[in-house]
Amino acid sequence: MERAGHLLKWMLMIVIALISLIPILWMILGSFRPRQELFQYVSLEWHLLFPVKWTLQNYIAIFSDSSKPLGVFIKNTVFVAGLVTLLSLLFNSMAAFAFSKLKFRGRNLLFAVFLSALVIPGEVTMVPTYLLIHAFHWTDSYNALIIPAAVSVFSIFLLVQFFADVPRELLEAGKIDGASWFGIYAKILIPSAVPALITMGLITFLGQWDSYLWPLIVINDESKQMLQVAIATFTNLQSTEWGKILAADTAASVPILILFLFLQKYYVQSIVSSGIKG
Amino acid sequence: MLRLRRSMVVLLIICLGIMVLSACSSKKSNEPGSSEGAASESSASASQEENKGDGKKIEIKYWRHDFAPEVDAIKKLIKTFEEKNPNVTVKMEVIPYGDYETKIRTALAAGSPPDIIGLDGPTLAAYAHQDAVIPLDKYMDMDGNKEDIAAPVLESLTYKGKIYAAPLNDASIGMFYNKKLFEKNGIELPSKDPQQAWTWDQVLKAAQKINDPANKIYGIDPGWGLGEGEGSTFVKLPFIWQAGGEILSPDGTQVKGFLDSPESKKGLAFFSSLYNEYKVAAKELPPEAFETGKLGIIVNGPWAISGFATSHPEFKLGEDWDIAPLWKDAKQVTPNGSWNMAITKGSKHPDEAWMFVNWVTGVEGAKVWYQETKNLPARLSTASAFPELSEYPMNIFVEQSSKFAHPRPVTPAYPVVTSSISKLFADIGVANRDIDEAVDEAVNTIDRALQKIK
Repeated sequence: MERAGHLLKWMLMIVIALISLIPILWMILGSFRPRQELFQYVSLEWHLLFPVKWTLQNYIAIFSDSSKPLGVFIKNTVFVAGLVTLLSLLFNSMAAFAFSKLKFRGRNLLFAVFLSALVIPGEVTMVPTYLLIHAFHWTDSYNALIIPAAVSVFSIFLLVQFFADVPRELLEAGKIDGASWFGIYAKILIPSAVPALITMGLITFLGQWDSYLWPLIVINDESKQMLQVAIATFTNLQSTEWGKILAADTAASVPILILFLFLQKYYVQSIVSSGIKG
Repeated sequence: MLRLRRSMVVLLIICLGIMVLSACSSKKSNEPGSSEGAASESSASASQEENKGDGKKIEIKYWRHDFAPEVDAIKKLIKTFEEKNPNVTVKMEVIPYGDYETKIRTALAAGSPPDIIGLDGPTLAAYAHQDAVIPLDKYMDMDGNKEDIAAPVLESLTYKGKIYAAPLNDASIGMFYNKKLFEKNGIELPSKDPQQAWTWDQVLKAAQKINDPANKIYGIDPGWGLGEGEGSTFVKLPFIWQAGGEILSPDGTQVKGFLDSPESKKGLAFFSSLYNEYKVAAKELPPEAFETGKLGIIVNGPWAISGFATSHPEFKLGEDWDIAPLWKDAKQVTPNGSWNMAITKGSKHPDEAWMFVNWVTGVEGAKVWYQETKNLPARLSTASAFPELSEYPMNIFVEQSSKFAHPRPVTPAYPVVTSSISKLFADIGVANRDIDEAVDEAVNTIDRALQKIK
């Protein structure tokens, strides 16, 4: 009886996994098909997913087009997303440390004000932020992409939750041994919150990797453009170049998949630990 | 823990307050005309900075949406322009089509617009109304050869008696049909003569013969599916005009008595019947159904000729498919208007900007533009300069746009008009809603927007 139940659970999970994988499989396999056959097979058959004629033409097209150098866009995006991730981990973890472990006047009020920013959607603050960036003469430069993203209320909020798990006694032990607050932060808190920081870093990196609207608004020069905006240019008024989009999407997913492959252990770990805490 | 919970309550209260506030303000910012203040402020700050660039090389910034063949054509024109005018450089920046308006509007609101922007015909009134672009009449009279521009195109670029943009090209649509499916079902092929357009009834009969949903063959896609966007409105509006209806009054200030007239409703009823009564149009179609031989009849424009040739070289014009003039009912009507160039009020160098605009859209530039892009010309001189424009298939579009073209309504409320119209068609097509009810709703929405701009 119990085995049957297990079997059923496994089957259900496999079905769910397949359903979530099929669109991704279709994207990857579709990127190896010639444009003509992409929408030729619509009924449930082998060639719905698998190309009749395999081709690398889509990849050659996106990487060799000198007016839209995908390699450059990937490099730009890695640079911006990497730097934002580093800066945001630094600033947000320090802020989260202060909110979760330091005692100071008005802390709760300040934290509440901070958190209230969570409910304001980015679209609402977009124009004011743009005005600010414009006044600093940062439009069309990476400052506009990196600096506003270096602090994130959401990250602070999550890190505060994670840091709450670190026992106060541990920090007090450090204090007794004569460590400064910064020493406690750098030597005790950070090492004990590595999974949380990796999770936060992944979320930040992924968010930057996928960011679209903000780079679209602030970056004018095509050679500085971010990956997702560049991919969007494959859809134009007259047509959508599906082959190129699928190839570019596949290429854009690879770095993220590799990151997850290496870091998923920590990612799952931190979700589990935060779940227990609830 | 308790402390955390109390702060959560505080937080919740703050959140609620902010949500209410932001809900109010976001409602306002959706309406046309609300960025007017920002736009005029921007022009003031721009004029203060004027004359800064004297003695130096002048840089003109031009923003347009991304479309490779057109961008390449502009690059060529920039090169020849800079050779001829060594003191001016033109910097073109291309923006993905889907979010073009978002980017332009943000830059206008922040007071940092480029000198020249690309404008789709019907958005012109909104920009002109907000004082974001300048009238071009004095330039047009000087060396713009405006008498050479097709009258319906010029009409669509005129707001309150002034011309606000110079046309890159015109657009028109025809009936594209799958020749093999027609022959297989024994349907007489439609005439290629623009004067011999098929009637709605003929189109319906052909679609009924072709339609075979069990084998995944569909009769007709009467207007680019049921999606949103200006392209979708562009190809659907003719149903209303062909039946003898109108969207707005000729001066663009009234919707009551026009969109809800019996004629307009007749056009909508025919469109709805294709989906619901006769079921010859599918509510969901596989992508590229026409190019892959699964769809009998579609509407499309001249741009699709080269588009299909590159994306589906095995699907040949003349063998697999052909083009006929757009169908007619009480009247023969086709839509018109396309992309244009306008000079922003924030530009510090409007004279130099005009020099470039005229270089691209003027008599000689328009010829280069046609050669490179094969877009339907907006200038009569271009139309007569190329013999292929009086031959099949281009002659259909050229003749339609000179004889049967109907501009889309010119009003600052056009963003509301276009979204209401595409919703209206989706309501009666997909949802099979009662036509009177759906029309009333659209009329009310548009009317509210029109009242606001008075």
